Amino acid sequence: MASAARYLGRSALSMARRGPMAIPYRSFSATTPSFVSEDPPVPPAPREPRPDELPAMAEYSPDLLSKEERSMYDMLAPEEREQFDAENHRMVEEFNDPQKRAAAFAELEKSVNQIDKEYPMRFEDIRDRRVGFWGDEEDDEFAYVEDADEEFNDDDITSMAHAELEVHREIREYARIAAWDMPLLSHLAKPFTLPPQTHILRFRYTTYMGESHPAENKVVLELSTQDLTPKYLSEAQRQTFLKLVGPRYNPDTDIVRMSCEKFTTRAQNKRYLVDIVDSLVKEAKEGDAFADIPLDLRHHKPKTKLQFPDSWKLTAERKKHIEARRAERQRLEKERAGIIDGKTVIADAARILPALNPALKAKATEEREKVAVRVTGKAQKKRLR
Amino acid sequence: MPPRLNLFNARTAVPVFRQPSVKVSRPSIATINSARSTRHGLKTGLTSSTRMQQRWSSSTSGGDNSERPKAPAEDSLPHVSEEAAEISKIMDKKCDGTPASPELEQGTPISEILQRDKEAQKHMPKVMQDQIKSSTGTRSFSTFTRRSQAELHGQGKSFDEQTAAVMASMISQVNQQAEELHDGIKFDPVETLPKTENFRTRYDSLLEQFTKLLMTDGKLSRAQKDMAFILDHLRTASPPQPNPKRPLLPGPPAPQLPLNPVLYLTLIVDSVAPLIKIRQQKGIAGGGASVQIPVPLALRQRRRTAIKWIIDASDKRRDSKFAQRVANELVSVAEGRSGVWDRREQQHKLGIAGRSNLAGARR
Amino acid sequence: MVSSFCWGCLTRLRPTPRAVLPPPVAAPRAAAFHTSTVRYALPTKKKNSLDGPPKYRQAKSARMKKKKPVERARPPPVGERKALRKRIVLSNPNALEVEGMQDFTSENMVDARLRGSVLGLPVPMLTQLRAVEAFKPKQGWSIFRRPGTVVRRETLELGRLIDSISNEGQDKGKSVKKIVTGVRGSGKTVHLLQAMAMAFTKQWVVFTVPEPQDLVIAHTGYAPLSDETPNLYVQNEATATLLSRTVAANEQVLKSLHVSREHPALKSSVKAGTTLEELAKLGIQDPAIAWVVFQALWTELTATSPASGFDKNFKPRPPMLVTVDGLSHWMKNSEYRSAEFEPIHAHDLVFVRHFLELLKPGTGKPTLPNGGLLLYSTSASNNPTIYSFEVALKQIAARQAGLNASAPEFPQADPYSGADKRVIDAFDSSKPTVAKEGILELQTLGGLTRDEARGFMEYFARSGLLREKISDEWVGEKWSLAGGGVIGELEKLGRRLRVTD
Repeated sequence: MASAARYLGRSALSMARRGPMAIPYRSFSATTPSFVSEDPPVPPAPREPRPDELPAMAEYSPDLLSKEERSMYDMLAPEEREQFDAENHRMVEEFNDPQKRAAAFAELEKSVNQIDKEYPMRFEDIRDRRVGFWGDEEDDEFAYVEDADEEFNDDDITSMAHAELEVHREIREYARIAAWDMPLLSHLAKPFTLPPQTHILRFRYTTYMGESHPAENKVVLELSTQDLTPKYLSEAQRQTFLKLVGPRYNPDTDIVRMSCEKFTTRAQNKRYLVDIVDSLVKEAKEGDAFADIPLDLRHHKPKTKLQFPDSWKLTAERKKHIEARRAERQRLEKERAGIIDGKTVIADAARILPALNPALKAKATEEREKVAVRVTGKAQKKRLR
Repeated sequence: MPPRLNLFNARTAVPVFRQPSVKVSRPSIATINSARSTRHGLKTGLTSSTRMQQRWSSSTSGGDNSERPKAPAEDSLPHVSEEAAEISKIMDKKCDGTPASPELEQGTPISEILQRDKEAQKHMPKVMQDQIKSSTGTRSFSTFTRRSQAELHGQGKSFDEQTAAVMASMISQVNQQAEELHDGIKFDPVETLPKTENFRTRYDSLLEQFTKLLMTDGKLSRAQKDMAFILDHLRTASPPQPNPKRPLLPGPPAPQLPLNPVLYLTLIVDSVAPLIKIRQQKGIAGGGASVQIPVPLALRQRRRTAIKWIIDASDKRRDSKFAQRVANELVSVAEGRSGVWDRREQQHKLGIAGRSNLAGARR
Repeated sequence: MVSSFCWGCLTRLRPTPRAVLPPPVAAPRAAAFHTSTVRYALPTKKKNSLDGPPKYRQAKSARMKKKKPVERARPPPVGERKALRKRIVLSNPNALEVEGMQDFTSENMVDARLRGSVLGLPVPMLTQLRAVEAFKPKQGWSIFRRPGTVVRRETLELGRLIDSISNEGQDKGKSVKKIVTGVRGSGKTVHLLQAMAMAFTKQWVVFTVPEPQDLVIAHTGYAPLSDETPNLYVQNEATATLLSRTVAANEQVLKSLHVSREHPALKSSVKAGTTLEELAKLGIQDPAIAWVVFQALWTELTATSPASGFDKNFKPRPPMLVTVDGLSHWMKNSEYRSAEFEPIHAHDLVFVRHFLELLKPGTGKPTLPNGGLLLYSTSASNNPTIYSFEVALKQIAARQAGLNASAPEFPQADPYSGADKRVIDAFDSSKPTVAKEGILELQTLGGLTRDEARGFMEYFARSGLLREKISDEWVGEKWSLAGGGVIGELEKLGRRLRVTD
């Protein structure tokens, strides 16, 4: 494989050495070359009219003046009006006379050139300073403080100090509110009364303190199903109701909770929820009872709160009881004949048992030998006799 | 059962045994070995319960200084020059105060000189003058850098009665204050628990070391299971038949060992623990040849080596279970059949042979 | 990026014939486009070093030697490891003998003064207990001089029960059914062991299933019972082992009893004078008829009166003790498969079914007409969690407390949990109709009391295994550490070795 690649490579090399080949057509494109039409020719910019080509001005009359100018003109004194008219007549005449006009334009041209000469226009390209590798001379961006005063004239406190002062003012304002206005809120307080028996639905709205929020229109409804039973539903119907509400039911607290944010306003959402409850109750009464289906509570994971048993609480009575028991135990402990100690048990065994004590064993064998010797000695004696 | 000699207790309590003529059953290296192991091994033997340990506080009754425990740095022998003076006193019977030889002059205490020289007495330091005047023979201050007896005995006898009384009153006052301070304490303070009562160090140090060395791949729980098996095996297997050529360290007699498996294990490991390791060092002899240098090992290092050897040796056994192999190896070590003993002897032989290289190593 | 060569050009380039080109091996592997001088260069000399070519990207410094695993000649023989695992050692000759330790006798098993002490199991009984596999390998019998068990409250109750069943009195011939539960290490298996020991002292017949798991993990052979009942399966080998267990343990009793009726399935081999031991041995010798033999033996042992013609040497049958240790393995599908490769439920195995049906109250006469005790225990280690079994146990407890099954507080299985109906039905025994039959009870074993714990720990100390002073304080500490006296934990604390002292 590698050698094959090499062959190919070699022939390709020879082809390349032959020199640039003229490729008559773009080999990999089948379409005929088509060209985009060129942009329409840009018409040359209109030449600026020469001074003699300019149209002549109309004869001056005060009626030609614009509205504001006219009002100004009306306010002038009569002598001044005459003077103004004369001046304007003269200007128009001068403009309408071709020679004078040319002279004036020439004058203008001349003065412009003069300015050019006096203040030659030069474009000096300002090179940006080259920052070194370490950027030592670079301006420190972070050194700029937002409200640092550019220059300080010793005639006022700094703007930071002003800001600080503003904070103080704000704090004082709220302090004033707290001291003077808030106590008045108690006049608005109403005593809490339990919601009446008829109010079994509880709604929750959310406010975001004036900010607009997508969930502002959401309404949450909660109701306890026990409240429904005698009045609206029988017990069996309540079970049906629970089967209908499905996972919205919390068996620990016996609360059904549902929410709506379908509509743009709260009132609509609330209306919708109430309608739902109504239809559920109606369905529970009239519709299929679902008696053959057990209530499904799989959605709910009961939370086990581990608590110490009540019997463990250390009341004064229990303390006494415990102390009495402890004393009783100590008394029994004293009365007890022998407290067994593992060490003494082993030590005793080591002292007594020959299996554990080689010294005892040796003694025993020694005694046995003595007896044996005595016996054999007697026997020998006997035999001797 | 004959009373066994406890070296550790004997050294502290009975100064008579501190003579160099104490005989130990195992000579040379084993002496050091046993002295080390007594600290944890022997004290805990079966005999310990019958023997009363003499405590330091019990020796205060005699008031005899010879009963006083010695601090480790305190030499029992007198200074060379003082000893020589004693000898010369005895030999020459010349107590007129003239020194017998020039080198003794260096060792003469200043007090003796002052006793002789009435003229010098006038110019002696005020402290010494006071001392002579009060003539109680003791000072109210101590120049000892060592811990004085006062700390060992609570209130030293060497203090004069007045100081002692003052001290006692001060101590009682402080105690009273402390009592008043800790009014809220309901129960008596618990005495300090032994080290093994802490749950982090609940096992014996050797047990812990052995367990960790049994561990592979960080499976500590498995190693602990193995360790439990080994200890149970030591507890249930028949007691070892000790080999007189390769005895275990002195401890309770062999039949009693299974009743205390941890001690059994400790004795086995400590008995085969080598004292040294051999370090191969190049460049001492020159020419690139390496030289074997014996290096002494600390207790933990010695045990580690021994445990490693035992586990290595157990690899050659045929039992299917790892813990069983190690347990069998331990028993065979106790009975002197194991190859670990040879390994230890080999190591010590090499160490003895390499003693001469130590000089080169120090250079 | 498009190549500047056209595909046609490339295909037109023909490969040069192989023979013209030099053989590729001869040329050293140099740059491919370089052909001229390299060919004539001298071939580089091969380095004649042992290490081979120089290795780059590898540490050249001293390498750590890796320890090679020791190669053992061959793995341990088949069954050795299992034998080691299952080995039961009942004695430690190094442990001290406890002075004054009493044995289980028919007298002292009801003696309340012995509560908290350890009673030894009589040595001749050990073979019987071994035969019924009453001992389990990890129970720690091996560190004591001889096996013994603590007399706790439940033991005394059990002793009284067994005593009253076998002695003359109003309770004679009563049959009692109990399911023993409890936390792990609470002594359920040892409770069964104590029951067996008591039964042996009272000359009862003891049937045990020590390992119910073995019946459902498809390790023994199985076959359909008969053509009529294709859904039931019989395990002949397992039945044969059950028979051999029973015969080995109850040899004396079975030898003294004789066949009392015809057994049509075994007509040739069973005659009027056959003892029950011989009958049982038929099944051991030929496992193919083991199940039939077991059924015959069971009818013989539950017989109250002889059939006509067999009353020559009929003796009243002794009470029976039936124990099963670890019920929950029987409460799910077994590992066996039917012919359709469907899993077989454990209740479809006749062996299992027989023992579970004993829990149901008998019709007409009690399930154990001669009296006896059913002790089925659960296990807390190596235990499948079966929801329906848990519910069934709760129901038993509720029924025992006097709750009616229709009451709303009566524990019911969650309808959506997919509970196994068969399991709940197996324990759903209504009130027995026969006088001498007790209701199915649930007995929960808890921890020892402090006094019992003290007696147990003193036993450790007196055996020379525990070097502690067994004071009240010390026992209280260990009692609390053991979760309120759970005996398995106490045993661990007693045998744990920490220090030399």
